[in-house]
Amino acid sequence: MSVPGHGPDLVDRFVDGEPIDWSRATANDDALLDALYTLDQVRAAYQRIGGTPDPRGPRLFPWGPLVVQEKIGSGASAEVFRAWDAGLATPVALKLLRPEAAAAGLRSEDFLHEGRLLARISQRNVLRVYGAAVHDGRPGIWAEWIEGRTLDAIVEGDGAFADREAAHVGLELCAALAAIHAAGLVHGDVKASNVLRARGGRIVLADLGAAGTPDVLNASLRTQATPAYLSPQSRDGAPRAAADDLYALGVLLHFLLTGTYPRDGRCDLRRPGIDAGVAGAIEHALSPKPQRRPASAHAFATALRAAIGGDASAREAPVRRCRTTLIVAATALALGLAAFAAWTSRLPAWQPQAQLVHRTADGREALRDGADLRVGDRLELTLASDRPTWAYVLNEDAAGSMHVLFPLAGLRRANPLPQGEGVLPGDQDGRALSWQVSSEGGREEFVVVLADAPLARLEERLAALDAAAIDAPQRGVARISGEPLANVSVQGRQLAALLSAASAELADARHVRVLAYHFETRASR
Amino acid sequence: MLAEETTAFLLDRARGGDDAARDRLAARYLPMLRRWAHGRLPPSTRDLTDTDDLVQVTLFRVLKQIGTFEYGGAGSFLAYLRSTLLNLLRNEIRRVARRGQSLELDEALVEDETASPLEQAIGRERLERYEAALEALPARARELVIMRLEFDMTYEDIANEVQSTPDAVRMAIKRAVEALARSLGNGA
Repeated sequence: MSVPGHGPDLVDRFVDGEPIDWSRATANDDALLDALYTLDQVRAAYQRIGGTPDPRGPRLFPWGPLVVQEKIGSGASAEVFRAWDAGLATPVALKLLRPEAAAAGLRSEDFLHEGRLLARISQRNVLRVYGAAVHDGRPGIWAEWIEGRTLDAIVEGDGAFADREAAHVGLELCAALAAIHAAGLVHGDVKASNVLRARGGRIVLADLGAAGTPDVLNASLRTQATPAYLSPQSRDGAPRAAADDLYALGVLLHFLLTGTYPRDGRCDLRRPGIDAGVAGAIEHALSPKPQRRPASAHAFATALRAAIGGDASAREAPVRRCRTTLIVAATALALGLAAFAAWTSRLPAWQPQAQLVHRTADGREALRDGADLRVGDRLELTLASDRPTWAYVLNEDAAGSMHVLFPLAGLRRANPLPQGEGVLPGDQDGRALSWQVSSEGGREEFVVVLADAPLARLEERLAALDAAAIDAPQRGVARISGEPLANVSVQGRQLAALLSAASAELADARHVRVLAYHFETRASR
Repeated sequence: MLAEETTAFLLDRARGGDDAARDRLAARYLPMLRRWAHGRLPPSTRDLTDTDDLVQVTLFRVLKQIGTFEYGGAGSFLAYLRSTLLNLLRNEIRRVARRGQSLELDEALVEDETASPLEQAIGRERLERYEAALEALPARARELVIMRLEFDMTYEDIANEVQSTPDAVRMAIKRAVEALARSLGNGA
């Protein structure tokens, strides 16, 4: 086994406890590499679980479930701290909105809303956001803590990147942007100081506090962006769009290769030592007119990959396979709705199978009409589909409050769910999660919506719901009523209003399935 | 650490009735075992049995019966403690499961109550494959892997434990890890 360009044998490095970039590790035997990766996970788990926060470490103040330890940066609207999450037994980065910023017009609801949207993005090159909440009157977003250096610090300290190294970083960031754009967001501040190379080599796009839906982003952050990275349209004050993120990525890669920024739109990439294909792909992204730039992050990645040729395929590794899957998923998203509709129309009729199940000590039990559900019961949704599926699970209780059960901020599983079989809410870092019945004596309803394309109208409505409801406990089930929507009878007023508002979308029987469950809950078994 | 304080030396003294040696062994192993056992009990059993208590009881019980423990060298005392503790923890999990302990968490999303934090972090199936592959290793190789990967011991500490040199220990661990990885790979 060997790691290209990394010298010693992979087993040596593993045994010595050195960080290993599994996405680049190679071996003659894939099974052996997988096994070594498993051993690394075992060791990491023992270290993490056995570890406790350093009691001698600083403790500035508590914030909700976190102990805030150290301020590591501050800006006009927010401060960033390192904090300790005792629940996850891990350090986290915490961004707290300044009270003055709220007073100056940056609404805390917007701040939190963006945090929750970002928490839905689960992609290894995007900083993982764990949650967003208000504690002690201060809105905050917390995310994974990365040990590493920013790309601008690396260029400053070690000099410019080699072309293949820069292209590799570009590929990782394209995957990050594809995920962000697929979620309907724009990053808005892609730059070298916002990208970290973690110990071990993982490339992470950070400062997601800047990201958001185009409206919010343009209302709140126009003045904060870094001029060198702004596209001509953004400089002229046009609303920020995904194409501007690609332009900024082009500027970033130009900077990695040369240590300088393009001036007046002129690139300086035609130099000895810089592959012409890599230079061409970056110049394409830096086209002054957005319509001349790559159509998507995926298209940009394709150009970069073509430029570095067979190198990418030579890096197969366990994690590498995961990344390939992610890119494929992101590709499906990046194609856009028109392309998606054209594609699905060629497919045979969609036959997704979905079933709410009760999880017991012995396994899973399908829930049928009149199922006897009790407080403490755990519910899951099993799903099988021959194409990527967007799932939405909702619940309304007897008191008339509605909750979104899926998609949820912080869950690893997010829409679209890959084709094949799966279970919701799914697992998280190896922990199996379920919805739990926790209230008795009430009639409640579940609605499950499945679609083979994102339901924009429904998502818009869900995003507007009070997200505090996400923390509410969950309930039981009794009867399945039919599909499609015309046959679904829903008694809860809020659920009925929501389904009615999105009815045009939901009535598409070829691409959407709606399941409704009515039930009563009883005391625990 | 003084040379005469090796585990073999302390075990000999303890077996001969030296209480001070027994205390030294307890002081050496208790923190390591506590740390190791920390994630081994699932949440549903944690309110019934404090993991620390279980670790302490295990260690003291083993030390009390030290006369019957046959020292095989090469870290086998630590491996023996680990295996005794693992069996006790599994019994404890089964005992609580039989009692039908009710679950009281009322969060929207709850973790699998029957999985220990370690299982949650690694994945139950993956952890089982690891344990099975570990069991298939020769005793000495298994002990070295446990000390390095699970107890996070330095080469120096392991060398001291098994009365060898750090370089020799490093080479032996490398071979053991290769064997373990092959066994894991074949079982996958």
